[in-house]
Amino acid sequence: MGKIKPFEKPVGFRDLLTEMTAKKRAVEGHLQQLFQSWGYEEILTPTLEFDETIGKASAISSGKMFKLQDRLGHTLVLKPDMTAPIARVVSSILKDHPVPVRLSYHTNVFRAQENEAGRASELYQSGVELIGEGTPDGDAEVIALAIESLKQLQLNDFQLVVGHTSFLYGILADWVEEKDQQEELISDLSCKNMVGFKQKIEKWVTDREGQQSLLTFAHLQGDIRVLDQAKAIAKSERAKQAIEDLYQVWKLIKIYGLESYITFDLTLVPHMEYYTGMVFVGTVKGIGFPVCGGGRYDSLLDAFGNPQAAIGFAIHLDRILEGSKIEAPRKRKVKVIYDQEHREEALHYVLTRRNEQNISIETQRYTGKNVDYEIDMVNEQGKEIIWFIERGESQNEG
Amino acid sequence: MKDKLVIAMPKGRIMEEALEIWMKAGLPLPNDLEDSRKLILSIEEYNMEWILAKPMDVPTYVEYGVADIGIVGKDVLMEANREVYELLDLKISPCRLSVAGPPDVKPQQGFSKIASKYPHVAEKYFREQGQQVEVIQLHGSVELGPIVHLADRIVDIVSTGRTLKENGLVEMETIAQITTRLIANQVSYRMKNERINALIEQLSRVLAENEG
Repeated sequence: MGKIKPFEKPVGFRDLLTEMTAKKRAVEGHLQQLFQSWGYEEILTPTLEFDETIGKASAISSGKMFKLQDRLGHTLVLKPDMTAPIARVVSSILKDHPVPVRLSYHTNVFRAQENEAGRASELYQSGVELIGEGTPDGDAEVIALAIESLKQLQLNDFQLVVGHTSFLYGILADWVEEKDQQEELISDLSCKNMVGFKQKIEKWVTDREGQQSLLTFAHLQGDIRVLDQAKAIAKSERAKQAIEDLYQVWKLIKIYGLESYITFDLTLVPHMEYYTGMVFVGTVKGIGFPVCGGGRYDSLLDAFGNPQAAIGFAIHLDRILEGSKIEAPRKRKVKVIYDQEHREEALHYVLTRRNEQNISIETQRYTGKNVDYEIDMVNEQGKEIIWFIERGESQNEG
Repeated sequence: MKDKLVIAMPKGRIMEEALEIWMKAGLPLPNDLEDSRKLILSIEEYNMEWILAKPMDVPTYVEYGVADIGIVGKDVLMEANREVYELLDLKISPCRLSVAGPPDVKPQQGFSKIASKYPHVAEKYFREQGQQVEVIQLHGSVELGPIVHLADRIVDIVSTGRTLKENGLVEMETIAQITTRLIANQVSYRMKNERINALIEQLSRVLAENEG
């Protein structure tokens, strides 16, 4: 490691320049307006939290969190996700608030990246959490809102893939007893290593029906018909109930008129371990990584002594900012150049015009050296130039 | 108009073997395959494009989604540790990722030095074995390591074991069995599911015939 150069930033952190910042604000604005219209109110939580509480409750592995110490020696983490902090808020300050509670957020979260130097460590997320609503109606509401959000963002074709962890873990537990083996199977499913999955099933599951069920299970991806197939192989109550829930969710999504955006993948393994029910990821054509993810996490609030059903999703703004066709509202850009004699007149003029809608006015004191240069430069930036100087000719040129 | 399917192919031996299965499956080849300077080959009538990449880079192209699918050895997948879907075992280029060293190498008391093209795999393997080692990354001819006393042992792929033998090394432990895999970008897998599944089916049929 050499000496840090004055312009360097910590690895994984970046400056967002004006154009992107304006776009990000516009995107967040659109989303918040939508969230608001569904009854979700925005909330902010601290950037730093205790490792003991939020750090532990979060599904982000400890090694991926940025940690520091406060003056009393407590370990703090830079907030790794928003779900755990909201669970904390709902379980403390909002404990007596009538449920369901609907909250939304637009925030940065921090993840230490091991793999690659250039990958972002500070990520921007917008999302919602619906707490105290354990019904399929809650599942469907959040899915529908996620779809509406992606529609709102004006992206290419997109799709929401829906799975269910109770079915996933349920059907594995039906036929595979060993915890280690279950975990290995889950790990195969999470990278869609179906070859490895099948080989292990053939080796570990001796029961004929069990083998058949799990091999069928491995193919449960597609439209609504996969639920029928899933129902046929579900054995435990847990797995059966999961499929019943998904039928309900499907019915509701049809009422919302959004069924064309949904496909099912019952082998879907969520990235976060705290999910306990329906889960989903959103993918957009042409963007290599999922753009949103969410699901039900009914046991997370236990960690804060407040057992409650909960469900939510987050949109990864970093991944959609480029692809989104949302534009920051166009502003009329004006530059007023004045000399000393016209200073008062010019500034009064500027003050009045700043009351106009969608206007951006800047001023510059004319020094006598930079006129021609200014004409070229500011015109390139699409600014209207208004002169308040003594030039013998007309005052308004541009 | 259907979307183009982009495939990252690993230049070299694996690609040649993969092409045999590819052709047996009746899948189309680009016309200008023989033109070795080209990095991108397209098959217009099938709406397909090949990116000819270094094997080590295939998982990267696929993870970022500039290629929808890719063909790559499991050894590279293990080393690159990329977030990709691993859809099919093509069962070609079989070999092992192994620990090897001179036959008289003694278990070290302190720090053992390991030379490897696969530093991440090596580091992880020895960590999980509870052994403390120093992994030294080399980019080729790893067998040199023990000969010139840069390292005590090596971690490398072994197929016949001839290269090891010629350099006076013996295979000691197998870390993993390696074959070539078909991988996919997680989003492409969803958005181009039909095309990718059709391709897998065609390839699987050939694989089943080869086995039968």
